[in-house]
Amino acid sequence: MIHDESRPLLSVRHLTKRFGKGCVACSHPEQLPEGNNHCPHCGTVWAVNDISFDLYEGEILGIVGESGSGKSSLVQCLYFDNTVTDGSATIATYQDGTANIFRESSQQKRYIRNHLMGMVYQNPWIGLRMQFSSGGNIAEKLIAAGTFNVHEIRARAKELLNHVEIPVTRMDEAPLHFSGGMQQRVQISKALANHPPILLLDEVTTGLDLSVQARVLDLIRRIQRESRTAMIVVSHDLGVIRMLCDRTMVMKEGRCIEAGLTDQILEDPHHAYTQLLVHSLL
Amino acid sequence: MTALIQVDQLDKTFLMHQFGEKRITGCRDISFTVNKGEFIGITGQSGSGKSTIIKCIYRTYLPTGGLIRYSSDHYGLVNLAEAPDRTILTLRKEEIGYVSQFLSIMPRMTALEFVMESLLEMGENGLTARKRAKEMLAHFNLREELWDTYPKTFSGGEKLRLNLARAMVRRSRLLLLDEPTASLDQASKETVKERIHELKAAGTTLIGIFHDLDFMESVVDRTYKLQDGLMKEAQKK
Ligand SMILES: Nc1ncnc2c1ncn2[C@@H]1O[C@H](COP(=O)(O)OP(=O)(O)O)[C@@H](O)[C@H]1O
Ligand SMILES: [Mg+2]
Ligand SMILES: [Zn+2]
Repeated sequence: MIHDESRPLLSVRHLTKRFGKGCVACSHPEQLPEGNNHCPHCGTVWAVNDISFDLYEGEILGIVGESGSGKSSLVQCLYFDNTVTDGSATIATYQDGTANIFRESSQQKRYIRNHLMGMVYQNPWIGLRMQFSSGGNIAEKLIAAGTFNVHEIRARAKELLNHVEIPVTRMDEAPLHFSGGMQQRVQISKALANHPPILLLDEVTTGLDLSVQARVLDLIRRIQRESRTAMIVVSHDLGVIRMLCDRTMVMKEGRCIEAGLTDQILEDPHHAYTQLLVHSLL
Repeated sequence: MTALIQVDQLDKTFLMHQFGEKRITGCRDISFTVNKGEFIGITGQSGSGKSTIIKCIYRTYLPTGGLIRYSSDHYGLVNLAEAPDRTILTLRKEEIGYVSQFLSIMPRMTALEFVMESLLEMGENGLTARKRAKEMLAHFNLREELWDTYPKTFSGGEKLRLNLARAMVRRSRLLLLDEPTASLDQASKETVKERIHELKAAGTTLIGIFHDLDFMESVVDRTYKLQDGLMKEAQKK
């Protein structure tokens, strides 16, 4: 579906994710003590706290912050792995951008997950079925979106594996026996199977050796250049963000403390925490 | 003459939270106008705020006060000091180029790809982009055997010429240069000078910081001098 480029593809407003029941003392996020997202009275964690942002076609938006700042919770909410506590998200090419996707039926959510979004997890065990073949992992995603023709499925799986530089000869092998970098590349090919306009990438290079990390980052850049897929890249590593993203959001304790052009965040950070982060960059 | 960019009482203060909320002045109360097609040089001592001004215009720094009125092809009149990030990104892509005194390279991207990317981003097709990128690298006298290697190991002067090639292959409306000749030998300076004269003929507007004053005199129409925090137009010799 074609859509007006000046309109955001994904609009997120006041997204809030709470782990725990909450209590009177923390029922309004602004009541929480500054610099803390744990309620001292009931122990509830406000993992994502009133986050709003827009994602445009063809751009890579970075989300950076230390571990525990709520980055993963945020993308997992968008992919419906987590149910949100509050807030809305609309997609311009879904119901003309009028539907809050968090409120849709589970059937509609399945449709959105299969057609409009792809997700790559830090842990490939979550994103892949490790015992299935690589081709089978991709097939699963294609079938979920309504492709049943076996020849078509094999052809697309080959094309995708080729795209992420996995030798097609290894298509029938299970990712279990692959290296970490290869597993991430299979995950990426699976996430891209149905040409989703939005791709969510959560710490996909964390824990990989530097040279392997470089290859995955190059792949992400290539995908963005060739397909104009809009991406959210989550990382605790400002180096990764610097290489991939035009715009960046900095999260701390569930909140967005600063957002701006990536070079501006790096050279003219405003928030104390961002300044600390930038000065820790090697 | 029509103004392309009008800087009005520009302020930039850095608030350093780790150092007891210390305030550092980047530049204060800077006003000047650059007309369409004009080449402007900014001089001043090191630390006087020249780079800060350039970075505020490019929005690598977010100004703390003042206006930067820019007359855009795409948007009409835009205040660069406050324009949304997306607007700035479009302007960087279509209208405003910048070469910093610190050189940027992309890891694992060859010199040729680095220059080509600049054109591909603007929607140029691969073949034309390759051809024009090669022309530009040749123009800047970057040895051909380097084109298909990673710039990481290039000398300072080679990196600089590569960055200039990448910026100039695009024909920006407004080009910002921060000491583009700092690490160049005489021959390379002559090449850069020729390229700058070509930009002039193509109607580009330029704001540059040059540490080599003779070089600057040979390319700019007017000079501003930053002294004691004030921006003064220097007298023509
Ligand atoms: N990102 C920054 N954070 C803090 N201080 C800065 C930053 N950039 C520049 N400054 C300070 O602003 C002043 C002006 O610097 P700069 O614009 O680089 O000067 P010039 O280019 O004229 O040498 C200097 O004191 C410098 O240390
Ligand atoms: Mg300087
Ligand atoms: Zn509580």
